[in-house]
Amino acid sequence: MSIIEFARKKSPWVLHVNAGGCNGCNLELLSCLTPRYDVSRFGVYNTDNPKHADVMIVIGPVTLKYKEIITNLYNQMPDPKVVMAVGTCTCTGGIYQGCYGHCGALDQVLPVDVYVPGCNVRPEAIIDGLVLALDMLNEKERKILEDKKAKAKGVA
Amino acid sequence: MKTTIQYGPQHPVWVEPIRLKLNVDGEFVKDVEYEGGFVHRGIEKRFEFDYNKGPYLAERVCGICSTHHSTCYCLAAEKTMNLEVSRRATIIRTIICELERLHSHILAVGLTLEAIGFENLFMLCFRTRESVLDVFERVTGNRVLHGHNIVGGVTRNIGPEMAKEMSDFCDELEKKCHDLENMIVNSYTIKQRMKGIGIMSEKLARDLAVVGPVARGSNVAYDVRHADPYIMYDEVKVEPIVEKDGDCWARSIVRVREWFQSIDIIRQCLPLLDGTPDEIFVKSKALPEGEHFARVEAPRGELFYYLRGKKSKELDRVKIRTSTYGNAPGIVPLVKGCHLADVGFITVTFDPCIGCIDR
Repeated sequence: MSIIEFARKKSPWVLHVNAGGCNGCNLELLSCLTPRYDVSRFGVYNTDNPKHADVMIVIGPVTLKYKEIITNLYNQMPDPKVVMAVGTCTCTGGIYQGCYGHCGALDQVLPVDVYVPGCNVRPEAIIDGLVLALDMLNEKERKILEDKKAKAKGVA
Repeated sequence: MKTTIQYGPQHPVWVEPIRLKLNVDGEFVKDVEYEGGFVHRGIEKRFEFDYNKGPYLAERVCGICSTHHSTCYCLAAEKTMNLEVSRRATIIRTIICELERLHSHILAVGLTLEAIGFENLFMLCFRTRESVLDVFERVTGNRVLHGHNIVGGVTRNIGPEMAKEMSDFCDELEKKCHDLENMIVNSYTIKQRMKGIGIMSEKLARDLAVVGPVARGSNVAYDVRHADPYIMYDEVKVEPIVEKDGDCWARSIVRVREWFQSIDIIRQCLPLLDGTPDEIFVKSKALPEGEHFARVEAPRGELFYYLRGKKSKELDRVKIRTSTYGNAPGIVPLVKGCHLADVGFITVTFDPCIGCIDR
């Protein structure tokens, strides 16, 4: 385990994006950050800056107006990054299927790594998803390092 | 020197996206442009589907005032079918609505405190709110979206044991709320930060026709529960809570005082459950026909549903005028002329729920 990997496992920084949808899952994510389901004891910190974030938590079916902004935010995040789709409407469109104002699901816009279904999700499910996201983050980290090594060898 | 600042749509103060385009001269905001519609999904179109599934859809308009949405939809739908809901279902609806107002107001006060940087009291507010969610989970089975209302009644009953548990909960919560109130009201720092900021005069409030705690903070005594009683509010006495100043402090204090009003209403409703027959659902024999509207007092103000049926299972049109939609025009004149540091804070005292505004 490299030192970066170790540090990331101890403290993933999270970017909370609401891309439409009702507030149900938003509130549950807020509940996650507050005393009852305190995720900050695992080192999870809710950052406001996409340039500092490791995990992007998206809530709601991406609306047509928000599509551009969310890709912008995604591009600003440094590698490795993990995208988490929280809530049924983010995973599949859910109840909003057939409404005209949204893209359908998050995976139409961004590559999604972790799906957390449920309408609305429970805080326990979000914590489960975060734990899964951490493993993926480390996997991606390892892959990037290996690629770098292979490249260095090729140059030498 | 004049500068233009983009405030939002992705901004740390708000959980949801809105965009304010600020023209700033030094530290003062000279001009504001409001842009919404980032969360517009077009859910109104979806209502033209099946009137029985309407309450389920109405809850998904906004997750914070979900029961108020479905109650309002059900009231409008029941009017079009001339359906008389049983007394027990009406009492249960009132109890759930008031519980929801409690959780929403505790959340709103907590977020306001976070906006001025008082993280500790924000956490305490949220801890208190969790106990309300626990009761929700015991009564309806869900924490945020309850799925409790259907056209013709409610889905789950409140038995005598649950009523006893609830009255215990009321005592416990009142104690916790008194603690929070003492901390907020006696704090010199919070008072200094909140008083005299973002003042909405009574005339402006009446001109813009703002609703809910925003209007009541500006000395406009308008509360739908008092002005046009629905469900149980003609038997339960409700007086609108009014503050005079119209600043951020007044708006927050209205919410704080409404905690105790809600607890009081739940206490008045619980004894009414004894001896009421156990019937909670009435099946309708007619289909929706003609047009009707209903309005309720959601935590953020007056909520309005208009419904038109065409004597078939599908509805013709449903129009929603949410409370925050009525409040949104008030943001612009208040932000104009204030400090740049107060912009986020003033908007948060409006308790913006963008899911409601844009639908």
